[in-house]
Amino acid sequence: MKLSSLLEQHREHIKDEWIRRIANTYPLKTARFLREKHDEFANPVGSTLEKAITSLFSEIINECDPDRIAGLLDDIIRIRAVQDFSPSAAVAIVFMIKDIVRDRLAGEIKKGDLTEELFTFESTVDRIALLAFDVYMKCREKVWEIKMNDVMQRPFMLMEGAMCTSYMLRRGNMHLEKIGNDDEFTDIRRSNN
Amino acid sequence: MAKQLTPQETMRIDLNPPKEGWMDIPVKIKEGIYSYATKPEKVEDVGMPNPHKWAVTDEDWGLPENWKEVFLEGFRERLEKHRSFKIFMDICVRCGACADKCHFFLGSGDPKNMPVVRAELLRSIYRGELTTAGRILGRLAGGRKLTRQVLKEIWYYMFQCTECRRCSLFCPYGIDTAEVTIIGRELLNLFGLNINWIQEPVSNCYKFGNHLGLQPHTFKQNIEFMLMDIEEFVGIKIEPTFNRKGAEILFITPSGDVFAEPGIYTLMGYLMLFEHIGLDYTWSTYASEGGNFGFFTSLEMAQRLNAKMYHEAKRLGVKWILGGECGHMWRVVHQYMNTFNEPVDSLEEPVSPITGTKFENAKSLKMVHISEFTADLIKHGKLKLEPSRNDHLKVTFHDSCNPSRAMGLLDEPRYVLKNVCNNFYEMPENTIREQTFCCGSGSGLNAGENMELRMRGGLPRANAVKYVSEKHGVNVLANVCAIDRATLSASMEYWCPDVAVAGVSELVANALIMEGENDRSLNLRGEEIPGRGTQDEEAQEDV
Ligand code: SF4
Ligand code: SF4
Repeated sequence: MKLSSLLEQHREHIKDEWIRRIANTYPLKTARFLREKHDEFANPVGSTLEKAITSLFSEIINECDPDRIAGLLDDIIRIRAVQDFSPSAAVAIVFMIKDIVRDRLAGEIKKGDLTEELFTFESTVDRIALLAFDVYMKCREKVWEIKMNDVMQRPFMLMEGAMCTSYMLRRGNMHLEKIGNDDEFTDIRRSNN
Repeated sequence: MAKQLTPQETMRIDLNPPKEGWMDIPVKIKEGIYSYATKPEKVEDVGMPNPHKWAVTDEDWGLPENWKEVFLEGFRERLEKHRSFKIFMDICVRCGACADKCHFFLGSGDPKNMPVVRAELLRSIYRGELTTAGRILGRLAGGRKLTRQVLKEIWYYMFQCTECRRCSLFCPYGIDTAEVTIIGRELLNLFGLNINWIQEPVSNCYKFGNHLGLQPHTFKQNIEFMLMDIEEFVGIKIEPTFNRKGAEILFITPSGDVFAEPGIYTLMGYLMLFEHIGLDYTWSTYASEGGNFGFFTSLEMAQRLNAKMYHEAKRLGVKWILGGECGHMWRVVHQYMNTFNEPVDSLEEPVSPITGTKFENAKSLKMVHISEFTADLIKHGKLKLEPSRNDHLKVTFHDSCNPSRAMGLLDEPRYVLKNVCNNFYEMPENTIREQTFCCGSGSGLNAGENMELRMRGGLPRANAVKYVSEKHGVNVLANVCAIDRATLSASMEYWCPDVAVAGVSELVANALIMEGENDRSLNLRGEEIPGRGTQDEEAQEDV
């Protein structure tokens, strides 16, 4: 039997174990809650985890489409990127699947001489981990971008007069666009140059 | 290989999280979760105790020598003064019904953000220091001693609660953890341990009449900016009045709408609505703030800042007050204003001058919510509307915590929205109306430096928005709160970037048919309305 068939056969177990191990990176009470409450609005993190990991595992053993994988990783890592995790702990969830597969399928891999296939599988996991790193960075950069935009609107910087900076910029751009579209102005600017 | 790194060593994952109770896990204060310490001069401005320079990262928070006595004495005083607080300290059976109802617990996964644990932070001190049984039995009775470290923990988690009251909805005993947080913050303010994002607006409001510290001419000038925009985008000239004595109505709204996007579009909405119906009203540059950050500091400070609203109404001799779209402003107004102040004799029971409707619910308060007022206008057919101008929008409504849970304003904004937009979709039942999820940044936690906290807290709300966005193509999250307009914009940018945020009154004004208006090809943001823009027309002509 090939490794892919084995993975397919043990799909439920592997996926559940993966979710369990990710949930266990949270404190005990939280981990239990994440796994046990089944309502996607009352338990948004737990249900996102469940959905994304289920799809991610299918993706890994079937098409392995990088865009779809990145999207699914985004669902989970976007959350971890703002929680109490170090960067490595936020993306470590990907590597967990290696241990799970080895723990579960060690005997059968040995018996069927599937070590080569296991290496290939693990290399795929490594590449997915790199994608996870990209996703993590994208999320962190977004947080900083939002922080920066927030400063632009920061009211206390302006004790005297004027609108928020973002409004001023937008209005300024609108006028520039207008000027840019206006032939007369364009001509004047050209002749001045 | 000589030594192999374990995953725990490299990844710093605790795969066996601590089994001890919460009391044994020391607090770890993390950047991105807290807001910066208040500046001493802002504490001084309003004469609050112990103004001093400190930073959250300092080991020593500059507590006075007798801090423990002051804290415990303050605790005792408040137990006596607020019966509800005493009951909340005594009757919790730790059933856990509230535990998973807080957006901060859901978004952070930190058990200390379970409402029951948040309240236990203070309750454990109450038991351990202020009750006989707890003093003798200590941990056995769920008590502990107040130490500097414990005080830091209380501080950290009191500023991770938006006082939203969602948890109280699920408590069989009606325990309101928001009130525990309110008292907790009051106690911390005995030592000048506020965050600057709250204290500076308090000082500004005290000195200038509004949180942003806009001086009267600036306040007026900013509204004039909006009037210029209206003239350009809508083609009409509006000339509102300021501080006009003898106006029938005084209009008060949070100053965020005078200054920041996208709140300013809501403000343009008010201006157009009042023009449309020919309302006899005035703005005030003195009572230029509906919000009240004093409420996040101490009840006394809330009272001091609130007083100007009635004062100004009296000075101008108006009949009643109309209030704009705001969250906590309505909690303070609805639940406290009457008792904070002597009721003003000169004010009358509000009656809409346009429809004749008596707002009996506002009989004692003398203040009406803009959504009630607008809904009544629509109901009586007083507004000329063309909702199809909002057809490119698929709208959902976020109930702000305070209007929904503190004043029961649930149907009016929905009624208004359904009359000005043709595409309206509700979010799932357990995320709206009384059960609404907080935006994640209320009660003065809408600073920039604590963005990670805000994103965590905003997750449950955003999760429901994402659902309707994927299912129905929702692209606008409407609301009636100035803080929401700012904070949900940030939260959407992170969690659902395709969804814009708008005040209800902005959508009303987009649909209003104004006398003498232009072709209305632009919305209030100066953007072309799909299907109405000049470019579209040209394209059609070419065909
Ligand atoms: S009031 Fe809101 S933020 Fe505070 S503990 Fe309750 S649910 Fe959480
Ligand atoms: S629901 Fe009420 S009684 Fe139960 S733990 Fe929460 S606060 Fe205590």
